[in-house]
Amino acid sequence: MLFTVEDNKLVFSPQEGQPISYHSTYTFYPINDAYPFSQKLQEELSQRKLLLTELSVPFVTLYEHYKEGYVQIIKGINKKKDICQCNRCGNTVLQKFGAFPCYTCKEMCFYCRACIGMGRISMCTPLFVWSGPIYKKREHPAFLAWNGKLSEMQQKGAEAIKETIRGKGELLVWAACGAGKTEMLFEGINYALSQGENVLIATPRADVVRELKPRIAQAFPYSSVIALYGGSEDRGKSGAITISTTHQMLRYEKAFDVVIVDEVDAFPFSYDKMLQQAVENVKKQSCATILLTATPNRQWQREIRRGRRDAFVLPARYHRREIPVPHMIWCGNWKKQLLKNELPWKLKKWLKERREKQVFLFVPSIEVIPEIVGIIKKGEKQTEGVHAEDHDREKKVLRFRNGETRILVTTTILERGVTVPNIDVAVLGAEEDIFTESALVQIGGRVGRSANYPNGDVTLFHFGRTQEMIRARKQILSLNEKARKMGLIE
Amino acid sequence: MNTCLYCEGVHTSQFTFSHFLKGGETGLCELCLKKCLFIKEPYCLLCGRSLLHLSSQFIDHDICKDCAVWKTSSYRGMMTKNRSLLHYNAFIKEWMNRFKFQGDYALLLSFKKEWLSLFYQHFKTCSLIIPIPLSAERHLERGFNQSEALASLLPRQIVSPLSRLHTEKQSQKNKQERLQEELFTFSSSRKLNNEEVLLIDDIYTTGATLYKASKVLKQNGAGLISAMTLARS
Repeated sequence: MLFTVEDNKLVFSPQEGQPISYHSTYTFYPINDAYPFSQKLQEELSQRKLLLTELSVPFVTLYEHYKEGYVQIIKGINKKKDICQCNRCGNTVLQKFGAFPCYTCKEMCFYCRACIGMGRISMCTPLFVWSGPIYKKREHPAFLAWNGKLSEMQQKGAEAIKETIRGKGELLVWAACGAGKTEMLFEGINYALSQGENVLIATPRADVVRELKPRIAQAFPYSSVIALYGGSEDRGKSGAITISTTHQMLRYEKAFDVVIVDEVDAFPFSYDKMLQQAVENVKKQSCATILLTATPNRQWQREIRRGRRDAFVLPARYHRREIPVPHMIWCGNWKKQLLKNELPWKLKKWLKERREKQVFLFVPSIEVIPEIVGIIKKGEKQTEGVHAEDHDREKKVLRFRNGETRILVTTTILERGVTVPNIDVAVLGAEEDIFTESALVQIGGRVGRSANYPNGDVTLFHFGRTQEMIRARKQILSLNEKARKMGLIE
Repeated sequence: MNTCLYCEGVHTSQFTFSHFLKGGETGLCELCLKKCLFIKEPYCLLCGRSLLHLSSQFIDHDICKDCAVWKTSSYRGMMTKNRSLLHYNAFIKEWMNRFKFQGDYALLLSFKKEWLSLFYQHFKTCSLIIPIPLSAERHLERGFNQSEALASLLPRQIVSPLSRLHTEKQSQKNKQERLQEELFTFSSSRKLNNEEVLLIDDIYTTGATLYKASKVLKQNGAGLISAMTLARS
């Protein structure tokens, strides 16, 4: 869209205007209190920054609201000399911008490639922001319907979380895989809701959002819970509790009193600058931040050890048993053996020993899955392979959960979230870069999660030990050590 | 090292001297290229579709049945041939979606090398390039015309004497509807002077778009007309 600036105000002018990013400074109209603004637009746009295509109202309505002071028009991309910044995702990496011969501006127009999946933002694309009174949905009083029992340590964690939410602080919760993180949140969320606050739970993957929504909605039956992911139906709605993927979070601005970031370490860029920026953007001025992780990065581990970061550490599982420590087995050049259509004999032996149990076999890349499945199928019929781009992914995982498949060969996509009782886990090619410390700890975390089957075996088949493998093992050992000292393990 | 335009990963099996020599080259990584199906011989001599996966009942002397139908219609001889670079598979569909509908123009360079060599292989002699136009409404919505973008990679003069009439999306119609209506008018004041013309489009589906454009061009003085498209579905 093209604009001119008159009297220090943006004026839409498709003929003589310039792309919005060319105008350095402008001010907005004051709010006209007498104007009967559209409540639909208020609900859709409150605390968000959206493109025209994401709104259900036509531009004419939007422009009218702009002139009456209820909507602000801001640049999609800030450009100063050689530096571009995307105002939605905060991207400033020059390589992540593209340029195209634009039909609107009639010249080369820069656009952000980092968040293009949510609709292209270019130099001539304005973002719309609501500046009128903020939409507040009428909510029923909060009520926590969950009546499960927390363990002693979980209770302590829940209190720490609640305290942080009350004091609007920041807390890192480091809880081992299978410690029951979600349940620890309920009390804190309940407190926030009772104060009339908005809660955001952000998580890296859409699967998790979908899985979390019914659980949260069940726990808080009288509060509105919306789930946001690519293609979700709740788009444009607002609720007391918002569960969102990282990307959808980028659409919000100064919207939440409590932000809970789940699996911080699993974010596409782990908790890097871009995400931190995104989290900062959705926070209100005073806002509580809860970061949940099972595998904090090394820097955080160090900060926790030295007491420089507020953290709550829950090193043991709720069933009070040790977390299985991974074994390492050298298996030679497994890639070469695959070329000969063979698996390393040590892995074969390991698989053979587990006739009764279900097995997860993690491999470093998608390409080797069909080969490995083919080889194993010769001995064991109930074998399947699954990867991120697999269309039958959910079905295959379900078949594994139901016990119809005995061996599931997979890439790191299943390292989190999938919980199947009584399984063993093997990693082939654990020396590959993709198996980082946190990935390996998560993979190990798949084992022995249920109270009925607290034991299990994790074996890393490798062609040379890496630092990451050693550190992963150390991390689990130290968690167990900590748990023993705290008397959390029998 | 260069990252892949599409998946942003770094996947090369070998690191050779050419990495240093061709430093700034951008394109797809090996993994993504593996998912592309480049059309090789044998292909239909008219529409350029691969005959490898086509059962023999749809083939008639190196020409596919669809083209045989075109040959008997009033469009006969309007277009000498079409050549497509890629088979329209799931990967290309996804790629097109990002390039065309999401508008990631930078992806244009993904197949630059292959696109150019297809041009030199078949259309060296053409003198004018005409990209299939978009309607003004669609053009505004997308920001750029994907056919113009593809044409801009080729070393010939680009002219745009056509304009598009209807605005509905092609992909939402069936073959019958596609065949019936007129799509283009000749909007340039100067007629063509028997030049050899190359039409550029992103996808060849039924061929209706290209045949209709050729007809209008033929009526306005074009010489031989052929077409080059990125994908053949």
